[in-house]
Amino acid sequence: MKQILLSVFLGISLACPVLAQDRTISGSVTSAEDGAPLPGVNVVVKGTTTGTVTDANGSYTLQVPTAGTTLIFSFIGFVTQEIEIGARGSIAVKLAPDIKELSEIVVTAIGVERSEKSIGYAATQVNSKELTQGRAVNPMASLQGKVAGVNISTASGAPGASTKVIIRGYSSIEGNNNPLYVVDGVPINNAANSNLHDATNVDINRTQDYGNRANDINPDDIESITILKGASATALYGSRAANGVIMITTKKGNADALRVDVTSSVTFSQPLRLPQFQNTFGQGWSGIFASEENGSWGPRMDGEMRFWGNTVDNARLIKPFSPVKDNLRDFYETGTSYINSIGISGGNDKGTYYISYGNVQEDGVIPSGADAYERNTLSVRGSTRGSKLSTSSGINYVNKKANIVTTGQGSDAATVFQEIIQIPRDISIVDLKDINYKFNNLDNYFTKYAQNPYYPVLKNGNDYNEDRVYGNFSVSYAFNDWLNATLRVGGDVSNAQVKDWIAIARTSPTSPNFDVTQTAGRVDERSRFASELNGDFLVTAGHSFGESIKVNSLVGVNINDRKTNNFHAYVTELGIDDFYNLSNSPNPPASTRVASHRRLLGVYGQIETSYNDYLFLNVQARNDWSSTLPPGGNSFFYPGANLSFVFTEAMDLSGPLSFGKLRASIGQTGNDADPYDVYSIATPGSVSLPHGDIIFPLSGVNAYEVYNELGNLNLQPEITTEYEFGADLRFFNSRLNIDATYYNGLTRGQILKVDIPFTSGYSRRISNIGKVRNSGIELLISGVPVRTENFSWEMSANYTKNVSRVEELMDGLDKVTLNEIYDLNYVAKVGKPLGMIQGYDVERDPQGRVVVNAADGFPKILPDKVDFGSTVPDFTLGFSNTFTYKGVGLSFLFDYRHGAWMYSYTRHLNFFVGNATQTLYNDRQPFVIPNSVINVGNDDQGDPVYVENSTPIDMENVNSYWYHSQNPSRGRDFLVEKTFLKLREVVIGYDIPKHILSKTPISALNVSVVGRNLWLWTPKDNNQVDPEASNFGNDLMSELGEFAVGPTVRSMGFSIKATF
Amino acid sequence: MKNIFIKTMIIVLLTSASACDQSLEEINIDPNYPNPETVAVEYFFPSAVASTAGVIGGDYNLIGGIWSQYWTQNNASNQYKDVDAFIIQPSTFELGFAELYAGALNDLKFVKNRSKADGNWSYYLMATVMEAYTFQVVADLYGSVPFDEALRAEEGLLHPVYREGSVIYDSLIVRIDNALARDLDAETSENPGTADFIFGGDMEKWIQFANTLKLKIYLRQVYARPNVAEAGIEALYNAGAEFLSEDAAMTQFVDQQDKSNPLYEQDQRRLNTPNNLRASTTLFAYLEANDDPRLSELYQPGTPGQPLRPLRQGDFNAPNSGATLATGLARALLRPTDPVYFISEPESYFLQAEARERYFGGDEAKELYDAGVDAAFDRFNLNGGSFTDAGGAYAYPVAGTFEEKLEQIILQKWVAMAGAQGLEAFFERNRTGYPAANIVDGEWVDYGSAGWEPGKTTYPIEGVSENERLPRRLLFTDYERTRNPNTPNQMPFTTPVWWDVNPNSQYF
Repeated sequence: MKQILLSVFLGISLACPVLAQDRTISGSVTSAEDGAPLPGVNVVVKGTTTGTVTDANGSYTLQVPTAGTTLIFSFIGFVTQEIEIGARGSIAVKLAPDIKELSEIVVTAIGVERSEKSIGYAATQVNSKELTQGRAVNPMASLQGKVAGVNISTASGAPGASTKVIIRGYSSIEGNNNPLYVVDGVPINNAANSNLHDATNVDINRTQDYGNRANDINPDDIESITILKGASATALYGSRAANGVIMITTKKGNADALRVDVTSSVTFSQPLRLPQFQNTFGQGWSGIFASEENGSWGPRMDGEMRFWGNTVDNARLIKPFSPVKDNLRDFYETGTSYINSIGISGGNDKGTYYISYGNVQEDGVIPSGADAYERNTLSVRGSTRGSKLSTSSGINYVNKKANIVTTGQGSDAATVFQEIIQIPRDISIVDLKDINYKFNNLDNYFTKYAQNPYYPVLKNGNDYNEDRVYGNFSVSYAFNDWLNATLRVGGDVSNAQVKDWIAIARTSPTSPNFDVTQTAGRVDERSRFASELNGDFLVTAGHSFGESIKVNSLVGVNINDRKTNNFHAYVTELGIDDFYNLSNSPNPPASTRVASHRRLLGVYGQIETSYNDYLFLNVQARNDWSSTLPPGGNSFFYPGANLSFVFTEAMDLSGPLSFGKLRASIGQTGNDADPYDVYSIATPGSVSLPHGDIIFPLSGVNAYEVYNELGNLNLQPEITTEYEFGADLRFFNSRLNIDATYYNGLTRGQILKVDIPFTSGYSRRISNIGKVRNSGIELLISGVPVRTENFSWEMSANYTKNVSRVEELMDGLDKVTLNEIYDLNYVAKVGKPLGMIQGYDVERDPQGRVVVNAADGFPKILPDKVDFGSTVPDFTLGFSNTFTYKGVGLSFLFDYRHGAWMYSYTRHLNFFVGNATQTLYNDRQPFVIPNSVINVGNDDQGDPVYVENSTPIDMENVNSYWYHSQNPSRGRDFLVEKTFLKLREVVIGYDIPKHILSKTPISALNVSVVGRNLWLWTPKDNNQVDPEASNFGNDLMSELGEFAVGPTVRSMGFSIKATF
Repeated sequence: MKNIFIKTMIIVLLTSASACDQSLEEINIDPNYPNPETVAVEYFFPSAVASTAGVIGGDYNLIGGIWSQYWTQNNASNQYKDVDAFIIQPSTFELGFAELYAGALNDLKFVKNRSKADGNWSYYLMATVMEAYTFQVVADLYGSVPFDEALRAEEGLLHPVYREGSVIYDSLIVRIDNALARDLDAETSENPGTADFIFGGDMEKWIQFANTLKLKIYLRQVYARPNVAEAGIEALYNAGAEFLSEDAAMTQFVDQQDKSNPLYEQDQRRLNTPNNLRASTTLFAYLEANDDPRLSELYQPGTPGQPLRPLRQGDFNAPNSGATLATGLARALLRPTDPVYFISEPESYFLQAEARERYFGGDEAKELYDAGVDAAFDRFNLNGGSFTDAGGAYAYPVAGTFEEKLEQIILQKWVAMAGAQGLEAFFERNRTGYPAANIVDGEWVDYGSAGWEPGKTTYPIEGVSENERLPRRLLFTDYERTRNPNTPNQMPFTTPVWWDVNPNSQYF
């Protein structure tokens, strides 16, 4: 079986000649400290590339060529040993631990492996165990809180929702701020299929998040993830790596016996945070009971029996006028998630193979199957190793199916999270579940201002189905012992089909709800194709000058070609009920096709010099040519350099410091434009109305208009220049480690669709507009406070502070508006962090008192908006602990974020309908705005005269006071503080002792109880939303907040992992 | 072995090089949309007309319809409370302003430039007239607006200065005259056919539209610059100008989403409730008092089969019960296929009637007035003849003073514009003071109180403007204030624009 498998996988790589092998050496490797077997030790025949690694029992078998006389045994954290073979056939080795030799291998840009100590910038590597222990469905979510300098959030608790990863803050105002994802040296597509709109121009209507593509990777397939943060670290990847690189190294199989890993987990989820409501006032408006109202501005709930809802067939329902305290929580169900995966691997010294299958099935917390996600992943990888030629290849297939609940504002139909808020406190939501019951149906639902929330859940929906294949092939040829050439080609092709439907929702002319908008039904069909091809050809050379100086150099060329092709067609005004097809309408379908194509060519080079293995200098440069920039200006060059100094090896230091490294780096990276920003275009004719549009063709006449975005023939790339300093200090034989970094990056020439006055004839002009600086500190402190034979306690804390500042905007602008929601503006403003929320403020007299209208006591509003708050957090903190006692481990991780503000529509709407606890202010009695005045005219000098105000806000206007439309200054109330503390991950695991397993085919077995996002603390005023939630995509816009997004979830479950 | 590797490399590189046969520059040409330079003007003109129609017939008809007191905000919903109560923000209707510049005027400029270069004088005239029409509306609504420096972003002019409306008026006349002077019969003048939504390519009618527009521009400034108005109108008549005898309107709307009359689309089809616009007692009582059959063409019952019942202007806080039970209140009757009128047939007659009274001793004024009323009834296939007959409710006061005649003309213009040309009716009230205000002894009179008269403007019940003054303009928009440093300082929305100087219309 093993042989068959092996030959299959060798077959997908290039055939290679088998070199003559002479004799077989075997043996075992154990730790000199405790005698435990050491798996994974590298065993190499000196002077050759022939080698193997030890298996799970520390054993190895190796065929040694005749010329081989010495074996080298090396392993991270142990002193490397060279052993003469002599005439022996079996060699047992004990390796001694070496705290100073922490030469952990880190995969750096372009897949080059380097020892950690030689790296002059901050790079964080996370291993497979940390990635999989919490049983998160996607790999990036399991990194939350674990890496300094990286901000990771999941958009919502919906199955399959996107993950946002931002490294060292936002630098691009309108471009992409997501890192580049690289799998086994080849970039992959991470497009977010959220909103199905333009990713940067976020629309609040019917937002739909089908996840970003980095989430497609099966976490059980990953060997390690390395995060490259700074410009110097990423420069070789060129313009796409300006926001950092997430380098994913997958499992390849070891030259080892056949090994089978099986992992199975089930987790259950519940909403983590739902709005907390007032339970004092019931249905009505302006203090008066009204049975058709969608809010709780009515009288105090007194528990009396009252009729409610509409009269149907001369009958009405009756219920007590008292709060249904958990009506919202009761709406949700327990979600489930099953993750199963199997991996088979093995190989020998000539090659390895790895095959895996993973299956994820999730049903979210919304009742019914309206939120579900299924992912199947199949990966096949292999490698061959010869004396000159080695190859490796991997191919991955992913199928994703999703049904998601539409969020945001309903434009063609209601959305559940918007409707569910508009239910008075005295009405039970679950009792509305039967949408055919005569009191719950569209005709007779108790309010005409909202729809039964079960209607959009049960009647509207979508199907998402995506097939994706990505993989790579690489072949390396060693010309001699110092010169090597590699060709690496990767491809990533995906095709998604999305069908979305809205049910016909009409009410009868004689029903109480006749005058609600009649929904005519709608079907949208989309096909979304994306492809990415990437090729690198690189030559590496190494040379030693005497004993102390070693030089490695690399030159390469790169071509990257990306295409998308999206078709969209829809019809409205459906005919047949519950039948969703483009043919089901008297109108022809409206359809569009949008294709894009971009290409990047690059050449790059790097020279690494090391001196005595403690001083390392690395200089690199790359030049890119991008198709998205104007001809003549499409070439851009960026250099970089970094220095690492392991001073504990350079000088003989005694004392507690066992390892010390200082590092410094400087580098540039660039970010090119989106396709088609250079030339102006004409678009099909349409007229935007405040609600709806007029769209050509009209009456058989087609039309075009000049597009309102003005292209730019002088567009330049965004260039980030960043320097960083850092230190890596380890004390007491690594019992206490400190890793600190300071970085400072300036991004200039941000490519931005700058709003220009419509009176100029256009709405936006694409320009290089800004200068944004991000500087900050990343601090990682880890240690092992206690380590005994049976018990250990490891802890780790990471702290990140990023200071964002818009330094300059060209064209004499002091701010650029990025988005607007109601009266709030989201802006980039000079001198402020990138992402400020602005809104209306009250007018004040010179003494600071609020100036109000004499007529109604409402405050007067200043015409110009003021800063309400920044969306950039002050700092973030991750804190984790792992306790191990014999085979039992307990680990938990807290994630804390401090500061910043976000807009919350959930809160906004809860203010409007009077469900928010904050609306209980003053017991809803009339009140005079404290410290308010009225203007009674001017004095002799023409200065205004103010007298104390005595006009109260009338009781019937109390609700208007709390709402922005009549009191714009209260827009401030719709912001919530983003500060939170989350218990991100808790894992209790037990490794079944080996002696119990010895009689079974199982070689290792772990059972765990896992929990994620179990607990959330927020400041008292935010009793509505999880500040991580957003339905504005996974880039800068997402920091603005949420618009009727679904709840995030807490999950708990069980996991079992077995190795055969 | 080495040779095999090198050969393989060469093959792979050649393969990838063949994929590179497209230059980087070619790759960046958008395959989804055409280059505007390659698109004929016949594609740009219809979308420009639709943009003007979308705003004039949409938001501007709405704000004008409420401020002219045809409609008032429903008491069981909220959409237009701010408009009805005069809570005017810089953001109020700023989308319309944006659409007119970046949706209509920019494309009209494109058509003008291209057709001028091509000697395509038919398109040049059509684009010039639509441009002048649109500029006059925004200038009247905001007092001053960007004009000569507007629409020039591609030249790098991003922040156009604002020009006073009087300057714009003078330039518009020059532009129209310039276009009228061109040779419409030249071989290079194309017949637009169906690309002309308004007259189907009939250039005679475009000349009439141009003349009627000039008449409207002159009459608007009759109180601010009487000499300019008089000289201009006399020149028009001396040159034998012909005026519109049919609607200059966009009629291509159908009952289908994204293809309907803009106000119907935004207020009826796409809003969460179609009930915001209720019949205002101001117009309703006037029509009812005169037994005018247009009542049931402008309004529909709140619930099918019920009698029509109005709501007092601005009474949106009235209890949703009894006489003001919302479902019993008459709603605006909007139809998906309603045309959007730029200058309507009755309007043309009323303009001419006024000019005749002012400058030609009233010659033919009565006939033109009667034709205006007839045309207004005829829109609904009704016969208004008996109303203009001697003794009829709307009979022309032949023996009256000029001011009495003017009031009759403007009052009937107000009725004729109900539901369709709200903004124009609002401008005309500001210019002339008609319909007059329900003011007695310097105080607004409430509905039904002593001295209250149907058909006269009333102060909205929930109105909150300073000193109970009516709005005269919109505020410079937030978009402009945040994007254009040349936006002038904000003026109160109760400050009259430059031509709004008639003491008769300054109610306080």
